[in-house]
Order: sequence, then structure tokens, then C-alpha cells
Amino acid sequence: MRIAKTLLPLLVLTLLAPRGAAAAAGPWSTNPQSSVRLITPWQVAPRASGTGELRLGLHFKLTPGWHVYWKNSGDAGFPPVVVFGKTPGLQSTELLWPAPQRFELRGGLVAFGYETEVVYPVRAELTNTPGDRLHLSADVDYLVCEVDCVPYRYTLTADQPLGDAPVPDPATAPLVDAWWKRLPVAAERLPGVTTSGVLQPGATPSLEVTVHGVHPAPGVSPGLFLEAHDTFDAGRPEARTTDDGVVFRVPLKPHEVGKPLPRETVFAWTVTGLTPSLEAKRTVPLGTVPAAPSPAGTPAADLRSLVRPIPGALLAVAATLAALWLWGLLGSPVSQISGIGREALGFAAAAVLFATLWGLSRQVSFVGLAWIELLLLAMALCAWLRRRAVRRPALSFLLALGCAACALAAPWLAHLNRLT
Amino acid sequence: MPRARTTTATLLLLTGLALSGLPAHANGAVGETAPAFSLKGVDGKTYSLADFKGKAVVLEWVNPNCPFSDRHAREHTMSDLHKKYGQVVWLGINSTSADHRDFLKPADYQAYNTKNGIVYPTLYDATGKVGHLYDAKTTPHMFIVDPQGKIVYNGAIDDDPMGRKGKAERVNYVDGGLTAELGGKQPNPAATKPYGCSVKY
Repeated sequence: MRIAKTLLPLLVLTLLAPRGAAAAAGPWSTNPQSSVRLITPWQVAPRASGTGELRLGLHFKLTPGWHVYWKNSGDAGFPPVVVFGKTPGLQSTELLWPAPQRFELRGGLVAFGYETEVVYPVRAELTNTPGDRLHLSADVDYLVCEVDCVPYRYTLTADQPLGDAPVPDPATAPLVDAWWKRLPVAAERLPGVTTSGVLQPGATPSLEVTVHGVHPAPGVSPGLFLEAHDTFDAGRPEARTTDDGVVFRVPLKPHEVGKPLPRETVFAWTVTGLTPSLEAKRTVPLGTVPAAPSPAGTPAADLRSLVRPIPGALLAVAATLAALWLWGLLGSPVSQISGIGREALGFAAAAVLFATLWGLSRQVSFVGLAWIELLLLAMALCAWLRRRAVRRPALSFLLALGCAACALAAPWLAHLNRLT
Repeated sequence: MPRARTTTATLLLLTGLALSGLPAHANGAVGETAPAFSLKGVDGKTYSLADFKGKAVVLEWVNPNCPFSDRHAREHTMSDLHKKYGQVVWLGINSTSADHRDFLKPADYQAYNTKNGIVYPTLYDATGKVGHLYDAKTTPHMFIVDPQGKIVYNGAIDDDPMGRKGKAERVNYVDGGLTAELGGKQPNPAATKPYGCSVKY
């Protein structure tokens, strides 16, 4: 039934289209999880004189819930491998990778790839072509996964007519173009956009990727996808938007502990959620914090970077304590100020707190900020409980201790989770 | 009683906050001490890593319902290596959750192993605890533990994820790693990217 549904529109198109239209797409190879075929955007492709580019596509349709993979498949899986057979007139081919999406798997594992439908663009280079047709043939190996995974291998074919008067195919040309547009653009080709990487050393090293000069589309969360690396496994990236771009922090797990790291290494990444998605490959020095791109590098700047979130966290704690005190939750209320005035001042302290937290959101990670907010809530809870436990000195003391511990822990957590 | 509850909650909160700041542990990384475990095999016996101190141990994360694991079982990739290195202990570990459809009951598992000539122990880790200790991601995912209990290899079984090459053409990382380890050298490469299905935690 599913096969009939998939093939019927193709059959109708084939019958209705002008002579040669079927050549824009090879036959589908179908299984219960997926269908795959070779497509081109041309009913009649331009004949190459000298060399020329021919855009092809590896077109997948996937059963709901199943996915195929990006060039870095993530924790498991495997990207498709396509090997084109020797074709007279076809000089070289390159499989390209549209911006992927992230799939959360059981056990905290992740995979990167595509669901529902994807066209992997293939850049083919033509030379002087003998005859009027290009007989395309490619062996494709791919893995399709849902909860389970199934590997498949097919030989795909497409017969592409060539001519001096090219004719685009109305069905496949928009499809190939749409997926070609979803290819990330090299950052160097985007005017005003820069991206760089900084490796933050430490017990848990992390890679900080900065993108300047471009913002995510409204309501879209930017995503960072690192290509596989031979020294590190990458953890879950955290994104933070800044005034002029996005900053990602990715925890890195070395494959080998206790081994001296190379002095520099290359990371390649794709950033999605921007218009357009971008890709970059950068050499990132290891072992020290590189000077670029921030003004860090001098001892004073390093110190500023190190202590930057601590004053903010202390101010947040002070504002919380002030609000609690003014609202009568810490010790005796202030008798010199009227009740309404006291409450108003308490709200002013709360406003200072919110402004400070907004400022902190640019200096510490989201997780760090969440912990700081939890600590402040715990402080308030301790103060409230202590007020109700005045006749129990031991409990009251313990709650005061908890309040003080939360107050001290907030700047410590801000320091631990700082973004430099 | 309320006092006890409040104290407990406060302590839990503070402990949680303290733990959140600790750096992540590099589970299963080469050079780390192999995490200890004690697991029940499909044969009903209990196996502990500590039992094999002084011997090299290969740990193979496995799932017979994963096509990658199954292909290697049918091709005898692991069982041939197990025979080749008789002095090395080989343990299969299956971290498939008991509620997952890939989970095999002991009788079915033993029949599968017999059919594929697998004579080394296969251990159940249905809670996934040991899998997470080693950060096992795929089936198969291979580890070599040296006689001193250090992880000396972490990664794929070979360089042929889709099984396109002939067995003799493949670079078998575990074969090379065991030859190096038994010859007193470090496996090279010591770490590769494992391939296969995700572990069904």
C-alpha cells in the first residue's frame, strides 16, 4: 500500500510529462523504512563544452520516525556512502551535507541527520560528453534508524539526456534547488560574518565557538554541529545570543587521558538556525586560551574575565537579602520606614535582582544561571521557614546556615559556569 | 519529623549544588582505570572484572538484534579473535533495557550464541549502569583493558562499518590492539569512533 502510494505520483508524472521527463529521476529503491533514488533538475541537461557542473541529488523519503545521517552521525549510526561508477563524461562527484537536525536517543545519546525527506546534493563535474545521454550509476550504502537500525545497499541509476537547449524539470528542479539552498555557506563567503574557536583548557576542556555578525531568525534556536574529531568527543552545546551574534560552548571529552595534547588541532563546525546556515573549519590552539577574538590576553584582561560574573552574583545575593529583609523575612523588620514604603523598597530590590540576573545571563551558562536562581529561591525558602520556626532555635540556626550557604554558593557557581 | 525533613531537603539541595559544579568524568577514556563491575551472564553465572585481574580483557558491547552486531556474529569476527587470543578474556555486555523489544531472554540468548559459535560469556546490564560507566554508545563498541586494569583501546572493531570489504582487507583495530598489548606496546590507534546501532539503554 505504501509502495503504491509512493510510486503512483511518479507513474502519473512519468505518463504526463513530455518525452525525456523521466530522465530527471531514476527509479525508486524502496524498503519499509525508506525510499531512495537519484535525481537531477533537468529533463535535458546542458551539454558540457570543456568542463561544467551538473547538480544531482540523492533523494530520500523516510517513514515517519526514521532518520538518515549527517556526515557526523553523532553517538551512533553511519552517514550514507555513495560511490559513482565510471561514467563517460562524468569527471568527479561530491556528496554534500545540508544543515542537519538533532535526534535525542535513549540513554542520553544523540544522533545528527534528517527525517521525513532529504535530498543530499551531489556536485558532479562534466567533461566533454560523447553522445546524447549520461548514464548515471551509483552504489549507495546507508543506515536508516528509528529505535532500531537497518542498513541498506542499492545500485541507483538515472539516464540523463544532454542537449544544447537545456530543459529544467518542473518536478525535480525546485526540489534540488531547495535542498541546495539548505547547504551551509562557508563563513568566509558571508560579508560581515566571522566565526572562530577558542579551546578552554581545564579538567573538562571545552570549545567555545563564536559567530559574529549574524543573528538567529526570530523564534529559532541556533544549533552547533561539530564534525567528528580524532582527539575529542563533543558533548551537548549550549548557545547564548550576544549583541552581535551567537556563542556556543561545547564540553569536550578527550579520547585519551594523561596524554599530552597536540599544540593545535582543527575543528570543523556547522551552525544552523541562522539565515543562511554557515560552516567553518578553524585551527584552534590547545593548552592555552588563545588571544583572539576577545580582548583577553593581558593579565588584567584574564583577571577581568575570571572574576567577571562574581560581582554580578554577589549583587544578586545582596538584592535578594535586601528584599527579604525589607519584607520582614530576615530578623526584625525596619521600624523607621512605613509598611508600604518597606514593601515598595522590597520590590525595588527585587527589580535590581531581576536586572542583575539578566546581566548574569550574558556572563554564565544557562545551566549556571538556573542553579543560581534555584539558590536564591532556596535562600528565600530558608528565610521564610526560619521566620516560622522562631521557637525552635536549632532549626532556626540550621536554616540561617542554609541561607548563608546559598549566599556563598551563588558566586562560586557563577565562577564555575562563567562564559569567557 | 518536619525538622528532619527540612534538614534532609536542605542537605540534598546543598549536595546537588555542590555536585553540579564538579567536572565531568571522562568515562571509558583510554588511560582511565576500567570501572569495576559484577554482572550476571546469560548462563546464570556472575562475572566480575576483578576476577580477571592480571589478564587482558576485551569488553564488547553487543545486541543480537542490531544488524551490525549480528553481522559480526554471523561472520565470526569476535569469536575468531577470541579463539586467536586464547590468553585474553572476552566478555560480551548487553546493556539493552529489559523493557526494550531487542531484549533477549536467557534461553533465546544462549540459542543465538550457540548458533553463531559464541562461547565467551555474555553479560546482562539491563539497567545500563555499566554501559554508562564506560560511556558505551554503539553495538558493537569495543574496549581493551590491560592486565593492570587500564583501558588501552576504546572504539570500533574495524574500519569497515558497512561490511563492504572482505574480512582479510579490513583493518581490525582490536586484533592490532591485542597484538600490541600482548607484545608490551600501546595499541595504535588507541581510540577510534565506534560505529553501529545506538545502545538501547
